[in-house]
Amino acid sequence: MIIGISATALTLVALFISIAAYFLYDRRNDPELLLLARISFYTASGLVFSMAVLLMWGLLTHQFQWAYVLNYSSKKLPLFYLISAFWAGQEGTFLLWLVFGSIYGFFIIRNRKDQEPLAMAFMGLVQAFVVIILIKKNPFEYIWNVNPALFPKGVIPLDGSGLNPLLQDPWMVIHPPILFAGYSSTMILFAFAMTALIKRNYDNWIKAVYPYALFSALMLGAGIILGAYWSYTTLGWGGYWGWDPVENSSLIPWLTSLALMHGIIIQKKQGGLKKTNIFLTLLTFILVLYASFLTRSGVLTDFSVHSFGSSELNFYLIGFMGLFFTVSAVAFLFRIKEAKGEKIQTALFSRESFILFGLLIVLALAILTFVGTSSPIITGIFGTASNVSSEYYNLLIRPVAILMAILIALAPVFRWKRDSLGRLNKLIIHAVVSLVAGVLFFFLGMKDAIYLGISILAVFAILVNGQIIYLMLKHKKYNFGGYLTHVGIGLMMIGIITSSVYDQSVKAFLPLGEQKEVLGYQMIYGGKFPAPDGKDKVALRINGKKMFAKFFWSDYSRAFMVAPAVKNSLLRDFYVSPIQIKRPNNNQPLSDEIVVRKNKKTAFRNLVLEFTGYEFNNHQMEAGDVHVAAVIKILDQNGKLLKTIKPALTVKGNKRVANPAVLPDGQSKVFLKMMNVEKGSLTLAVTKKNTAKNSSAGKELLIAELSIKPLINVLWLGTILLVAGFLLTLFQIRKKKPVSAS
Amino acid sequence: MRIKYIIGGLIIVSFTIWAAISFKTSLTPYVSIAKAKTSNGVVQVKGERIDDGNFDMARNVFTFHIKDENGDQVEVIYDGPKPGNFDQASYVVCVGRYQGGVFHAKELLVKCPSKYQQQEKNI
Repeated sequence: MIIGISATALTLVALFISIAAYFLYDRRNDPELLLLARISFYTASGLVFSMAVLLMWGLLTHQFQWAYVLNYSSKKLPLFYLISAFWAGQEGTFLLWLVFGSIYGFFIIRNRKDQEPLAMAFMGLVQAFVVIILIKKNPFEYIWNVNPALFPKGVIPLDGSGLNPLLQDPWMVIHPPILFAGYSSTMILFAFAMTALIKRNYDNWIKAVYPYALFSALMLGAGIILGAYWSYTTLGWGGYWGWDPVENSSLIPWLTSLALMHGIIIQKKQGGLKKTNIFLTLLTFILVLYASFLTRSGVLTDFSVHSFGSSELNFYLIGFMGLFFTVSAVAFLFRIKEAKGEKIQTALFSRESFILFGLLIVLALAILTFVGTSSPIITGIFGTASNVSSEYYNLLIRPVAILMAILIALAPVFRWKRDSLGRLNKLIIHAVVSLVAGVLFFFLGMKDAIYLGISILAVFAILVNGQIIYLMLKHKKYNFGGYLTHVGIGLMMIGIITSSVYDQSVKAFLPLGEQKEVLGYQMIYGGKFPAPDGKDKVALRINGKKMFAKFFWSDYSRAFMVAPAVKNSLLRDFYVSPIQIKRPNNNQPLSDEIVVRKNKKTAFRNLVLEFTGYEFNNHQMEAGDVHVAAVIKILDQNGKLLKTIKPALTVKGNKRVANPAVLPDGQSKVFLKMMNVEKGSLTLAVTKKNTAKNSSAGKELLIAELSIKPLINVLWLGTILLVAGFLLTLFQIRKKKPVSAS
Repeated sequence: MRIKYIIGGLIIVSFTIWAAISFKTSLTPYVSIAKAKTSNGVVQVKGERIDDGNFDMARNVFTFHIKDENGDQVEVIYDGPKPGNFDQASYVVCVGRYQGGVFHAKELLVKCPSKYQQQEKNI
């Protein structure tokens, strides 16, 4: 689409003008240059917003001639998921990055007059590189330009491929934008650190960057947490975090941003860690680029269950990463010696020492996660690429958690700049209560020494920080965001241990309609039912309450998809994830054969079938392969449309794979047997309805994984407090600032 | 305060050692089927799927065969159900160990031909 593609190109031009004008203004101080720089940045932003609106319009109005719309949406998608199709593909996420970048630009222009020129020049530079990738991979490209072999020029495809069913989830509507808001916000940090290095301003920049660093940490953390909710409620594997490369690559920059938060706090309070803070700021941004390289290039294809996109962007992504890494490294190495901070020479048992230890622990976790995630690349240099199993992370996280809990518990009692070991005796009651809690945990079944130790320390940390919050609230002081976040982390530790170490899990076979007791729950499998959105429901009765899991075939993913049923209660979740549905095995499924002609109605059983045409879905296939679906309307005898089915046939080389459709009775399968294009007729084979339900062939059987997750709500509560702590701190800073309200 | 550096140094050193141990014990090398048969530890093999597999309900295991680039074949036993997209998989990555004539997989990564790759091929 020429308007969209030229808008992308114009954005690049406008950004280059803005970058040049900002750099020149920084040298010459000519106010006209500043005006030009701002106007061109606004122009670029305007173009970015127009592109976003255009793409959204294209998705909502089904412009299937655009490859992006064709690949990620379809007519039957509800509005909600048409919107989320915006960020289902790489092009959309890059555009999303640009939208956020533009918004951040406005904030910088409005808030920080003194750092604006250079910071905005660097912001523009990052934006420009994203635009270059977007030019290479443009969402407005016509499908016949992308794939001329299969799509004749000018012919608009009838329907799109649809959205990956895994992404058709309410959490997935908000998770990607929030995570991307976090990812893209790290370029603000980069821009401010570079400005600090160039301007030799190693002190004041920290005040300017603090709210942005908080924002980055908030959004990355919230994004990761939403991803975990999604994983738990949608994917059905029973967990929320799997140390998968895709998860890790978002965790690593979040951890470094958390380390940075601690560094900024120390520098603001006593002037230390100037070098460290610049380093951490640049590192966070570079790690975000590394994350996008890991997840968008093909390097990890053999090591992750996630599927990755093409590797055609590798060159650009490596170039992007290489350039900004080099720029950061050179600026850092040349200037960093000048940044002389106050030494944190004060006593061991002081607040800053413990915050510094906290910083180091978080950083260590980031480095170790980085090493593990990059292990295929690292080992690939020396020989065959190998991966570490998730055991690596599980081994490492234990000592990290122990140290983290100790530091979180002890740091708040120590004073700044003073050895205050003596103040520890204020914590005796807390310690005693924690030990009592530990005894309780022990008798409830927590017998592993390490996990018990972590839990006791976590309770300790919660008590100490919780008490501070209580006291501050009493004095109407509200800047306790940090303590709140730390209480959240303590709760998360306990929730993670109880729900993923002390969970119980069994595989159960549930015959249709029979009550069975599993893990103390009364379960009845009530059958599988088709749903209007194509996601077949698995009816369950758990302790008398009706619940639904999902189990369905997805044409898009060409796989069976599963969604769990989760019975929440205050103290535990009961998690039911279907594995397989075994139909009774009749040796020969009897079927009827029927011939239908195009646009003619044919009576069949008590239904009327009307064959209206074919659908070809060639763009998913290799050249020479054919995928054909017949569109058949099913009416009742009064002519009311009941359902439109699309039995399909895929011919791959000399292999024929049938994708049957199901009649409204929910049982009879319709196979596409033969097609006669000249006569416009089809031969269908329809399996007979299974009448012998209680025959000797046995009952339909649901095989499911059932598990109990104790105290998982403690984990979720922890994540909420963690995010709330960040929000509160951010709110407090904004309140303090006299300028720039709303 | 020298003691602080000593504590910090000790923590860093012990972490590095612990990390190195964890890294080594959990590293699962990518090997050919021939090599997997002679190795004792946990490895990853990647192979073309050559049959549709069979789920044994009584034992709750899923059995299938793969063939690697060198043409070697191996029977894989996975302690669990058939993955949802197994029939569409072009190749399968199995993580586990070879024991008693079969490869016992702890984890399966089913790799389906990606939409994207094919599209790019067609350009």
